[in-house]
Amino acid sequence: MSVSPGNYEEELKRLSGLSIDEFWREADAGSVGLGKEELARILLAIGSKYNYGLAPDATAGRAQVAAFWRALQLPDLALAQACALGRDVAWQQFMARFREPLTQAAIGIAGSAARGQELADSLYSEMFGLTERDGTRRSPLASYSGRGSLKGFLRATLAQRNVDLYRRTHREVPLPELDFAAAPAAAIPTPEVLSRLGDSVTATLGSLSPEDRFLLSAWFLDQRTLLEISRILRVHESTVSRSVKRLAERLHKELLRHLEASGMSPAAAREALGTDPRDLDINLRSLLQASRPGTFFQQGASPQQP
Amino acid sequence: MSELLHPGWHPDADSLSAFTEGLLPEHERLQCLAHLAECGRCREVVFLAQEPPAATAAPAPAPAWRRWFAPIPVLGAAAAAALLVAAVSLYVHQTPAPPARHEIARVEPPPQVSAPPPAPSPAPVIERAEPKPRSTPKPFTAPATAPAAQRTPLPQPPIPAESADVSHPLPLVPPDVAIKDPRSTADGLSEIAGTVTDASGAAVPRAFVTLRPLSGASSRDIRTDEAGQFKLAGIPAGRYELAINAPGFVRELRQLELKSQEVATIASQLSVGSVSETVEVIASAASVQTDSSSMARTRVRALPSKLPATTTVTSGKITLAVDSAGSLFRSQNAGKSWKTVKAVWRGKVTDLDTLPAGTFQLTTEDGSDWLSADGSHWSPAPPAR
Repeated sequence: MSVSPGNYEEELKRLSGLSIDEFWREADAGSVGLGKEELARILLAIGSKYNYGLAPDATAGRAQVAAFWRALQLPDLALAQACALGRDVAWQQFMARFREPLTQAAIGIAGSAARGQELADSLYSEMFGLTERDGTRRSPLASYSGRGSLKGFLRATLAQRNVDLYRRTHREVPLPELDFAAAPAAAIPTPEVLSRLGDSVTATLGSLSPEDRFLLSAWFLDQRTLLEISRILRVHESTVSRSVKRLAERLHKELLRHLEASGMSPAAAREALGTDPRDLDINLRSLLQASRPGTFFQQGASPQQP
Repeated sequence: MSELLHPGWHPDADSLSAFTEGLLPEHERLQCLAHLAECGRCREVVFLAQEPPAATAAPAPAPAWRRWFAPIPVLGAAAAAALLVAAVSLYVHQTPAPPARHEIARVEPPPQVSAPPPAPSPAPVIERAEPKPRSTPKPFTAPATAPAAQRTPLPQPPIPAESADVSHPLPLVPPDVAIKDPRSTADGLSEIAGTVTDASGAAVPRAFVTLRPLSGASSRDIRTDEAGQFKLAGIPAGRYELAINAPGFVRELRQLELKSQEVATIASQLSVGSVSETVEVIASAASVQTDSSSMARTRVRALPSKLPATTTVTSGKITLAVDSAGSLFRSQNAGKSWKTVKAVWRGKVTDLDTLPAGTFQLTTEDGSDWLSADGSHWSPAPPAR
């Protein structure tokens, strides 16, 4: 976007056919000290960053541009951006609206009142933009796009900070001393069978869709409940349950097919599936979570927090 | 097996929150899912960032009388005994007075309805009753035994499981409903007594009866006894809305206007079908019209959900119904056919009503109110000022 300062309002009208006045009124931007030119600049930046909600290779028409901006949470957006710009009146509104919910959310996320209060306090100072970066004060609120609610954005930010803090301080956790069951008395498969089995598992898991992989990761690795997964995927719990069952059956069939395709007889393939997983030289977690380049769009992404 | 920190780029809080709220476009949602499948850190973030599930609804506060008496049963019993003694004392010592002879109630049909009903149907009857001579010295137990003798065991209609909810118990009318609360006459207050039956004439026990003043917010609740009878005493004069609701039956709404020292007797016949009518009861009227042939009546055919309608209201040509699962349906032909109204609210619909301007109002289980002029398009009710 190469728009010279002072021309943001004209550019916004050219792209959407709408006047900035309409957005400015709907966002109630005047009450948080945000000018029309500033709001126009923000809307243009967000629209350009997310290609107006379209796929990266698509070109947005006037109606799509207008629809994208109209779908934003404009009052929340104006408030967050005005806070990021350091407007006092905006901060007063922000604190009045979000101080209590943010503290409560932090306590819920952290799991204790003391840690939650500490988490919320640290986020307040961060939101105020105390972090110096390239000589300018930056607030995480500046990255809020208005696509979701500001409350949801704050919850996600809190969750990120909590997870990063937890992982930073709990990177090395001793494994609990478990009394593993004795290995079955069955003969250990030959290295060749184990190799074929490992290849089949790798190929099968690699062929799954993102949603299936997410489902397996959340269900088997994270031990999430059906309710938690269903709320993320926005389906009913029973749908998640059926999906997990179908996915397990499909994985079984796919593994058999891969094994038979590698030259094993059906009986040998079924026998190989009964192999003790501890004999397999594969890491299911790393297979499920195998990082594939380009799976996440760079726009709107952020580097790993230290 | 330990999981290393996932290197590289992650979705920012803005994208994750929009994903959690289901507001990302499809292509970004799939990209997010692909990343989440790989990244345990971001998975943990989205699960933590979710709003916690809505807590179960807090139990409704107990009525004032229950709050007073429930914690200290002994005090409650003592207070009841004191009340009993006071009642007997009043009966014995009151000076005989000539019985007042004034009219009690009048039934007025809704003005907008002129056509007779399509078929004979159980019409609500409000009987005129003369005030009981408050000073008639009679044995205390006599009034109590008379109604009890009239009560015959009737087969109870099937009550859905939800009606067995004991979390919000309402006071049952005691069997001796004919015992007159002396305050209702001594203080110039009124009372309402009635019987609730179904279409076959069988009593409807444990039906909810709610009396709400039109000009106030506090309401009084009571449930019918095993004979389907109820009685509300000590009611100040004024205009009221009386709602009678029983699981599996259509809620009946009436508007009453009571003056002091009146006893309104109401015979209500609930229907499994839909009855939407307003009955004006005006005290001290010169004439009594008990003919309800001009009442508006709507026969409801089976709702698309195959569940019974719990509430039905009509405004103009539009009829709305709520089934026992809390879904809303709309009919433009007086209930002959129904269409499901797409819910823009969360949760079940718990109450349905019409406002004076003909606007529909519904209340959801989380307490939010929604308004609609046509029954199809709903918007949140503005907050009360």
